[in-house]
Amino acid sequence: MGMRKVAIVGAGITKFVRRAQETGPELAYQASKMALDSCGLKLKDIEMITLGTAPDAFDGVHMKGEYLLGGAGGNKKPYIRNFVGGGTGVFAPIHGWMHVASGMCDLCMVVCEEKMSSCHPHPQGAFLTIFDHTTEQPIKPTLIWIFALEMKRYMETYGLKPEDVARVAVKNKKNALDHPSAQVAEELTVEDIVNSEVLADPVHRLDISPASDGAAAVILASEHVAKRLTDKPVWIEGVGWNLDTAYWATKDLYYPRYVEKAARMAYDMAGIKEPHKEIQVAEPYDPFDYKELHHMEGLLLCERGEAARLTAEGYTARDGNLPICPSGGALGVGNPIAATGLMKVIEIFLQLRGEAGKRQVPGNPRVGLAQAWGDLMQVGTVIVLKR
Amino acid sequence: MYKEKLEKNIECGSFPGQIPVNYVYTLGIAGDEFFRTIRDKGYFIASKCSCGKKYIPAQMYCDECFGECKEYVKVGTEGELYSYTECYYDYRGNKYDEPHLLGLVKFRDCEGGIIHRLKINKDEIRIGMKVEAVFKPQKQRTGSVEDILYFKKK
Repeated sequence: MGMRKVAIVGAGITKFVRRAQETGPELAYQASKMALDSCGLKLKDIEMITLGTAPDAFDGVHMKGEYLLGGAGGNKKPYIRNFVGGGTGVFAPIHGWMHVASGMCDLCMVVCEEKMSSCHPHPQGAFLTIFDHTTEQPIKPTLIWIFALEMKRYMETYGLKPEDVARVAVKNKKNALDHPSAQVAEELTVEDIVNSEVLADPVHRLDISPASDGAAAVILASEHVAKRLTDKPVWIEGVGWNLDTAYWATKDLYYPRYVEKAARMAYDMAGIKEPHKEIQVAEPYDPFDYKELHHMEGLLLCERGEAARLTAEGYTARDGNLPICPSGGALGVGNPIAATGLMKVIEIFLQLRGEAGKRQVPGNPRVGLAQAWGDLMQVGTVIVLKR
Repeated sequence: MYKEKLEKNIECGSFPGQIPVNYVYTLGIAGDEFFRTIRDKGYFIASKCSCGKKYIPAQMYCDECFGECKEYVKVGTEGELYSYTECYYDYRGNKYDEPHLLGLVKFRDCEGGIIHRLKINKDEIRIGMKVEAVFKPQKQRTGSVEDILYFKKK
């Protein structure tokens, strides 16, 4: 396609917490500085910057991209914000990839930030106005209601019980015990999950990731610069994104076709023919436990309706055949929306470099995938990494 | 006065709405230092980077070299009027009884500045004049920009 190779050469990530003392720009600064330091670069080396952050209404700052500019190192640089709701965290490095792959620059920093704790009494209030203002808002839905409709339809389609889904939460919260940024890492049982309070049947409190504050950043480099900077570049081999209608009543709730379309776009570019065999470690977006299963199927990592069984068999455990969310995911590490997606990209970057520490999956993986999802249950963003 | 005119006189259905949230913003690492000093000591501090740049209000990072500003230095209460304006309407479009005098105050050797109310006679005001912050009495100060009442002529 006439595009240049692009590598990730550095990464930084703050702690994910319920409420950070830091302002949004300060969080962005901490992650950016860590990413630069990790590969021995200074801000003056960075030619362009792309920033990902979810709705302005979370931080309570209009033009949040501009607000975060200084902390993300964007002063007096070609800087731009990108946004696809919850899918932003994986779209942001795709956007950065465009900057480098196109030949516009050799070094691009990608920064993602979210500070959801500013929003009171709860970020659900900000979510209310994502729904259609005349047909849906008057009923005052929360996102949890909508997830509950999708989760129930998914469980009904494949005959799943709450326990089948809860195993994902148990796995991810336990994986997160080894992640230094983790907010809600814990060793729990399936019973703990299914006995936690029901928020909107079948969604229990412990089926859900928390609201969080946090930031993450990566440095992208063109091939010749990447090879100068590191012996272990991790290449962005495939990118894909796809959006379905915002009127979610018109789509199949049991299966995310738009995620499949995004995945196929990325797989075609990366030359991946059999993703269930070729992808060796994956970080699908898991804001709710059933979403990990839903996304494994949409990403063609298993047959439809099979993900829960594979999880029960340990196939997706850190030492399983296909480790899924070895970081601990949104369910364990926390969910500062845009920063979560980029945290997942960073996890694959570290896993492929063999630098994931206690979280390292066995078998020296060469190919991995990260995915985020969001907007009004309508976007899939996918990135395939190889070493 | 501007008056809105509809192109056609039609019955137009509508549904009222609002985003039902309010916000509690943290001051941040540098902001806590800056506003705590105003509250407790009644003067301004700047954050200082190892490259020498100073920032007011204090900020955590240096715009110049992207280093972390770990040092805080006293600036005091005096600055220089960089620009000013007389404002006649508030943000809802209501006219003030008395126009508001607003200024941007810069501080010696510091990046940035503070935007605040001025209490200066109109015949005395000029760009470049020395001004001084007037704070609320210490017991009334809460650690916010509203602890500054206004800037006056020095």
